[in-house]
Amino acid sequence: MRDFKENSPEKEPKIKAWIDLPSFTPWLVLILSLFATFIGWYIIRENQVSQEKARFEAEVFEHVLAIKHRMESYEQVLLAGVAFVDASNTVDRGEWRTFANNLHVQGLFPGTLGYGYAIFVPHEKVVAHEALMQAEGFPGYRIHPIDENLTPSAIIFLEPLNDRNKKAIGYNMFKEPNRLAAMTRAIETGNAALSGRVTLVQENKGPVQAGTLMYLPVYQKGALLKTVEDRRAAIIGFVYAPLRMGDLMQGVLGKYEHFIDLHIFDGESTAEADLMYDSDGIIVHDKTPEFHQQKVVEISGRKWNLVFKNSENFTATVDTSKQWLIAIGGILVSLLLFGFVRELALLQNRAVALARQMTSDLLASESQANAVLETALDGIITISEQGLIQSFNPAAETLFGYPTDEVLGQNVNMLMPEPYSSNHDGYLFNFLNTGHRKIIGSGREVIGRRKDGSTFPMKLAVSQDKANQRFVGIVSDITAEKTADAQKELFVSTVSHELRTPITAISGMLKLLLGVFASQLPPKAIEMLQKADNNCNRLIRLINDILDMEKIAAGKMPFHMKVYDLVKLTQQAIEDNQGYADKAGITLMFQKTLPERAFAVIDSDRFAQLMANLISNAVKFSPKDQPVEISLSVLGGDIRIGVQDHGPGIPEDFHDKIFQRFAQADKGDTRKPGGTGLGLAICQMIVEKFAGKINFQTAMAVGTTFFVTLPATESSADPLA
Amino acid sequence: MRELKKILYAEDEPDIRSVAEMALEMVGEFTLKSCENGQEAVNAVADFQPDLILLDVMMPVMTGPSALLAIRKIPGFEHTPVVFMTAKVQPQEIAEYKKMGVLEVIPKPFDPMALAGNLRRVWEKHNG
Repeated sequence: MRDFKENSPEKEPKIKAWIDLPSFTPWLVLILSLFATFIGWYIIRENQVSQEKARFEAEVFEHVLAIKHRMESYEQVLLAGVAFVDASNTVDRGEWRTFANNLHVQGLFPGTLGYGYAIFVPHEKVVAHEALMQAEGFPGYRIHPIDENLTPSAIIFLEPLNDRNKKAIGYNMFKEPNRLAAMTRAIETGNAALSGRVTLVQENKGPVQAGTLMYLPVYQKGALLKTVEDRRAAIIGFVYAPLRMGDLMQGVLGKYEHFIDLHIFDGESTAEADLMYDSDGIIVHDKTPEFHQQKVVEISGRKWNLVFKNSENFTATVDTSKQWLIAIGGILVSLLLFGFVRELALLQNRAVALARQMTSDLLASESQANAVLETALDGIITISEQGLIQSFNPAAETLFGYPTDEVLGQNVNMLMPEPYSSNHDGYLFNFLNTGHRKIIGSGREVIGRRKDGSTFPMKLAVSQDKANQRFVGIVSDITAEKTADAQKELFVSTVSHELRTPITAISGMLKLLLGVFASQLPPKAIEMLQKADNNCNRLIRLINDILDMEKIAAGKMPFHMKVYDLVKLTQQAIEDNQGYADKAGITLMFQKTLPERAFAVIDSDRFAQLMANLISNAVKFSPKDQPVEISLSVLGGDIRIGVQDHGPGIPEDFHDKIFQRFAQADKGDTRKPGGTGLGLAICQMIVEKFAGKINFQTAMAVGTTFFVTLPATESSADPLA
Repeated sequence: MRELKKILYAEDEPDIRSVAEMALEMVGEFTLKSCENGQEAVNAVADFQPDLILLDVMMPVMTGPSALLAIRKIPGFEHTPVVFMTAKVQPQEIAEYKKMGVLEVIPKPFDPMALAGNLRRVWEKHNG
């Protein structure tokens, strides 16, 4: 079937998804998302780290300053001592003691093991010095160790003079290389000098701490100190303090003790041998610290390597919550996104698959529908609301003799002969605008016109496809039936004519004999003629009945259905049949009280025929002097007409055959002549056409009543009769 | 109103023609001119000058309806009452005949004893 819109059902349906996502998209999304999370986490972490680093470095900066300040304050303390010595003419032990105590050296300057004064004693004065010292209360006092090449020095004062410090009195620090170096530096620079790492002499109980000594030079009063030589010449001694690093640095980190790990190395080294101070007591940690800063500072001319590292506690305080929040949040979001995108992709896949399936199902069903159109024997034509042919199936092509492409887009009236052709547009227009149907819905017999101009009868059924704004017509060629019908009609017509012609003559002759020549005929002849006449009449009725039945059955009997007053028509029927009844000596009685209104839609001629049949039957089967009663009543929405006789009744075994053709009850001699055997069959046909019912009540030896029930009409139209 | 006197009759079946002739002449006591087909009837009109014309429908040479049309063309007979007789009594056909101007269609078989009376009724109706 070639439709007006081209279809190609062979091609695979191209289904385009809204967004064509490749199948790895969810994974891609996941990876990107995780990557983004990672970057976010990393950035925050870096941020965090740099923040912490800055914090750390700030702390370190503070601590370095603090250490410097602390050491400077110790210089000050020694300077006080130098000033004291300088200010005095002589300094004796007692004064020194008082001075040291006033300074609260121990209390204010932790780590200070003593506050001491050492002097140079020239070789030649050593013996005298020793004697003096021994006399002061130091039995066995000797300057030791002595180097022949160097001017000996001796610690003469050292407060507090505890057991530990006592041992140091007389010690020549100038011999020991570390101390020598510092002392020399002090002499030469005139400034405080810190020695390298030492193990302090005093140390003999308690944990060993690293130590150092700070020296401040004491020069001759008023001496010139411009040059190094000047200073060398002018040196008399030192104010010095042995410092124990552990105590010295105690609390230097303050509240940050737990967060920062400080190692102080002598010099620029980081060797364990040079370790002077370790804030947490652990020299080497397992864990590598996050932050690490090294600062080499000069303390009193000595380089110290301050190595700051963050402790585990430091990192513990670092707020990593943000990072983990981002990380966890990011991971969750990534997973969600992944899940979501995957669902999306899955849904889309399903949708696409479904669409494909539906399309292929649709195409399959379409091709099935197409197959119907292609193979149907009836022509199927669709037209637009303008009457233009949209589709034309193969059967239609055969029927009308046109190939489809010659009719598509043409007006359908090309398939009709005049006058229908010219009127069709009008009919179509009319229907669309008023809904007035000329052909829609029913199957109508119309004339079609072929390509060669010939016409043929066809049955046409048209329906409206409102959704698609078109009409669908199914057309079948009924030429054959028409021919058959025509033939049958011709046959019936011919037969009726052929039968009636001789019977007219016979009947006419008989009636004339009886009517004109009766007086000239013997009674017996008249009797015989009468019988012949009766039979002739019967024959005529039979022929009429047969032809009537044929007509009704073929739908050829016209039924002009209109509203009639059945009371009047029944009255008329009784009058019409009165003659016949009189001849039989039967009285026809119509019901006395009749309903006011008994309208029905019927055909008056056929009603008359129906009543004639029923009445004549009743008369036939009525014994003489018994009446036939005709009743008429309205029950509910129905009109009921009854025709009652007081005859023998209808036997039981005949009840179901009574309306059949040529069925007659009596087989015996009580056979009543005159019936055709078709009367009730015809009655039934007529009643059915009236949309009514016919039935009977009977009782043997009592009588029979035939009832015709017809639907009453409420029509306000005036009845025609 | 003048009485119905002269009837022109056409019927091709001889026996039926005899019956009708007897019915009209003996029973009805009309003056009858009887023809075998429509053409004869048309030819006889001018001379016979019938009051009423009774035609069978199915006849050779010229059918009843054709004869009717021809008769109508004869001057003076445009309105003469015409009655058909036929064995074929399709109601559509009857309606057609009536349209043509036929006053009555008598079905065959007919009662010859009633024929005269029927024609008189038609005559009276036509003239009344």
